[in-house]
Amino acid sequence: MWVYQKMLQYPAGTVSTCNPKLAKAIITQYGGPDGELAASLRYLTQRYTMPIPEAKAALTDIGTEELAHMEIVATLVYNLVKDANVEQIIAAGMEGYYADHDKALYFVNGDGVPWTAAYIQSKGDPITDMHENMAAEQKARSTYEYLIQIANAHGDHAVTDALRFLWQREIVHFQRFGEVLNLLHDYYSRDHIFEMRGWNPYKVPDAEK
Amino acid sequence: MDTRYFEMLRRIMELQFITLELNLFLDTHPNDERALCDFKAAQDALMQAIHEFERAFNPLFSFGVGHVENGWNWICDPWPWEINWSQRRG
Repeated sequence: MWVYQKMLQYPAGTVSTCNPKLAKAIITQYGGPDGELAASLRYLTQRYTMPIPEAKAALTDIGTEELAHMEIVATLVYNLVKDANVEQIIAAGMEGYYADHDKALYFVNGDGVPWTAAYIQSKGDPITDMHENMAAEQKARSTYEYLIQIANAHGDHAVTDALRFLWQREIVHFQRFGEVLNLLHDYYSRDHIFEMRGWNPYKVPDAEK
Repeated sequence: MDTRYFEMLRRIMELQFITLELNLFLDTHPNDERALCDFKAAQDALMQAIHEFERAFNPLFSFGVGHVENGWNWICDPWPWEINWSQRRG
């Protein structure tokens, strides 16, 4: 269950309300291979098979935060294209997108390739999944660095600010997933045979039968 | 929309970020007393700010979590993507 909060996670803005060329680059973080949709769905679907509470909590909460990042990226794209006329759309090389979606938000990368579940993995092995997630955070960090260069070249410092916030979140998430990975290693290296001799924080009592 | 709306909303967003960040930290450090103490302090301030905002303006949360008074004002504008914060230093 989720409850919507009627606010952005970061006060994102744009200097220009008409820069479809910049929007075309940024949309990759909406529906591209290392974008926020991929991040959110990856974490939210991996959490069911995690063996320790820290992992379930981190995947639930970071997966939820990624939805908020998706909303920030959508807000940037929406505000950069909403006032553009058709000539400006064509000049930005966005006419292919426009023909299919007008100015509506759709999950594609910067070249119009639609989002696919093949971008993500949910492997069932918690150690494997956590490595996947740490790699995902690094890939998204790199993408934000390229986008920050592009936004700087366009001179839109407000967009750069929002991208810098999102960039910084990738680093925090990488750190949290690294901690989860360590906790998973601790969990698997512990002796589980005599766990009844002491309290095991990871063992959930059986439900009443 | 008066400027107080955006000032109060921005304050809530700031407090929300503090609680979110501490929430993630506590997920992997559940026994960190200092982080928990900071979380509770930020949470108190956040709850107070939300309380004041929702009584002055519109609900911020759906599905019965937000405060509803004076009609169904959940549908009232602006929605988050309709605020360009760079043109509004709250």
